Amino acid sequence: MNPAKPLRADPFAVHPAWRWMFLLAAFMLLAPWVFRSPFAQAVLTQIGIAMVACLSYNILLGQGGMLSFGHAVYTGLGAYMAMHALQSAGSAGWSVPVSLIPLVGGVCGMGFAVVLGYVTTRRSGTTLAMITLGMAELVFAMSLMFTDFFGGEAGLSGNRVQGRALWGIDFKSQTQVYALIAIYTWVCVGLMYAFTQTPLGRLLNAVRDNAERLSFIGYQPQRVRYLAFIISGFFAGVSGGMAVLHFEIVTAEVVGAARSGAYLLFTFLGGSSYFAGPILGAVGMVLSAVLLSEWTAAWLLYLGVLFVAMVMYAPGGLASMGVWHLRWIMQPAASRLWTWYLGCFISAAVAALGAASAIELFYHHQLQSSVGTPLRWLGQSWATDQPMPWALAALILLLGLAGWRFFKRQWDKTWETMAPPRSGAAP
Amino acid sequence: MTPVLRLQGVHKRFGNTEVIQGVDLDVMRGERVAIIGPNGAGKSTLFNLISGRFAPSQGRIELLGQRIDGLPPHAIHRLGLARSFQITHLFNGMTVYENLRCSVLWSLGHGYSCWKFLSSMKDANDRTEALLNQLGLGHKRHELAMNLSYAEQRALELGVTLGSHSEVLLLDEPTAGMSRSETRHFIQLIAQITQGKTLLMVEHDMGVVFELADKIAVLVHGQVMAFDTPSQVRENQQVQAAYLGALAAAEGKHA
Repeated sequence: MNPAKPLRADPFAVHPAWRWMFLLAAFMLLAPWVFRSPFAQAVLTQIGIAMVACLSYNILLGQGGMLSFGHAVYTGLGAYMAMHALQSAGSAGWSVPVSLIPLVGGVCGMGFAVVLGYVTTRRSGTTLAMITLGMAELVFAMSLMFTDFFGGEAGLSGNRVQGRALWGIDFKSQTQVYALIAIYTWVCVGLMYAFTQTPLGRLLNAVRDNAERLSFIGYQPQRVRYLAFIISGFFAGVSGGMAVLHFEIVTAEVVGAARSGAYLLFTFLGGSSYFAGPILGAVGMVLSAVLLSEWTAAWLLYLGVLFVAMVMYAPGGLASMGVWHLRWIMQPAASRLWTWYLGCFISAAVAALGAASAIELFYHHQLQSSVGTPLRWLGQSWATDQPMPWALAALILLLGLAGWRFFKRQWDKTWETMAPPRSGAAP
Repeated sequence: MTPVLRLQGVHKRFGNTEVIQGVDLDVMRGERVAIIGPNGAGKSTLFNLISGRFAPSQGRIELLGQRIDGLPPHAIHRLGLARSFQITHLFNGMTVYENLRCSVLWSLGHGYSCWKFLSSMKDANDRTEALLNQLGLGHKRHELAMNLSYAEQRALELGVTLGSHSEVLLLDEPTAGMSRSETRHFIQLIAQITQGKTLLMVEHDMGVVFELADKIAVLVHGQVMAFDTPSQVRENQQVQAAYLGALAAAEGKHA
């Protein structure tokens, strides 16, 4: 009889993360067939770019506890360097293949992180946040001073359709750009997830939780932060390089404070404590910039309100809201909650509608009333100088709030009767 | 035989206050030393000086023959010293398992690597498992450190200290805040796990001190008043007067 060989685990068993990666790949493959218009594909492309940027930002914020107000420095400088590479590829004797431009951005983003990050990551907490703010101001000021490199007010533009087309891929069509960026996005998402499963990734969490203790088990917290910062800078730069290929133009706003703020805001909204949070945030970032801004002039105001509300009431972001929903839906007696849940949901929607009406009225009254055109809102014409529309908006808002109060209380009561004490509270 | 840990004329001043006023101490390999003394005697400060949290104002500290005073904590740890804290110092947002796994990484030579997966590091995972079992925290492996009970957090605190298999261990009031029975149990655990190690421990429970320690250092006003075997210390008139007598009297009143 043969000696019993130890049984191998199922050779086709893979890490559960591969399932998510597969799902992402499937979505990326199907999306251009579902969304055929160049506009929709441009939105998808931008979402990919934003995903990499927000995930790279979350290496700092969520995984390392480093609140940076200057992440656009690394995406932006990566973008500028990538643009120079693209321009010189068109003119100079040597050239980087167009499809490798994002890597140029990545390497340069990494290089800037090596230099600037060394100073930034010496400290943590508030000091670190202040230093990042200073760095961002510094780089933005330089972008206006060194017009040769940054292109001044007009920025720099390049042409991605150049060089010999390999297998007919010349990046003329949006679909081809989308495909290239989808591949980069997929690989970057995978690599950044893999990073969280390595010793350095785990030590980064430890630095976030208790840097001092880490120093007593043999590690230098500064070193951990610095290395993570460099890795984050690389992916930020890749994102900047991808943006160069998509937009074919770079202006000073890519290193500006508003861009840094957007990374922070949407990473937080998506949920910085989950790996997938920034992915959700990136979708929100692009959709709000592209669609919400079309729909209302007050879109930044809505974002601000949403941000404040999330910080106060749902600091875990969309991702943890999703997990919370899954948790109560999985409860054996969840059916008893549905009525109250729908009640809460509808009244929240009504309240939001009332608030939005008031905001639109106010915005229109302040900015457009002198022109004399009435506000178009919900398919109706609203006269902002009449009391009725205002009263109606207030009524809708109050109705929604009252409904919320009622249903929320019912929800809480039901929840208390069924939930074991430590499985989390209502939102 | 040279001592594993040697303190010579160590002073520490915070502004005008001299908390440690010239401490000399030689600890031999494998000894278990308890440091006792009234509140404010400088016990925790002494640990902070040895482990590198603060640099001494004056004097010399040697670990395994190498001078360590003024070195940062991670460098001292790498030379073979690990410590625990009186106030629990854990990675609160991470699971019990991850807390312990972080503590074993450096000593197994994994450094800051980001090109290997934690799950494939057999040595680190095996040692983490062993630690989990020794501490009796196996059933809590996926629990976040912040969600543990107090006694479990103290056990994890000890585990994170032991993960590196360091030669010299400093335990700062490992049983602080525990009930009598928890303390009993926990001290047995410490005695068992730290077999063969050199141990310095701050402890208030005199029963524990006299049972576990090979030697006792009595620290009063930042100076070592006595450093001897438990029976010798018990007989020491000076110590009686300064500390043990007062303590016995206080305990007598409580009883």
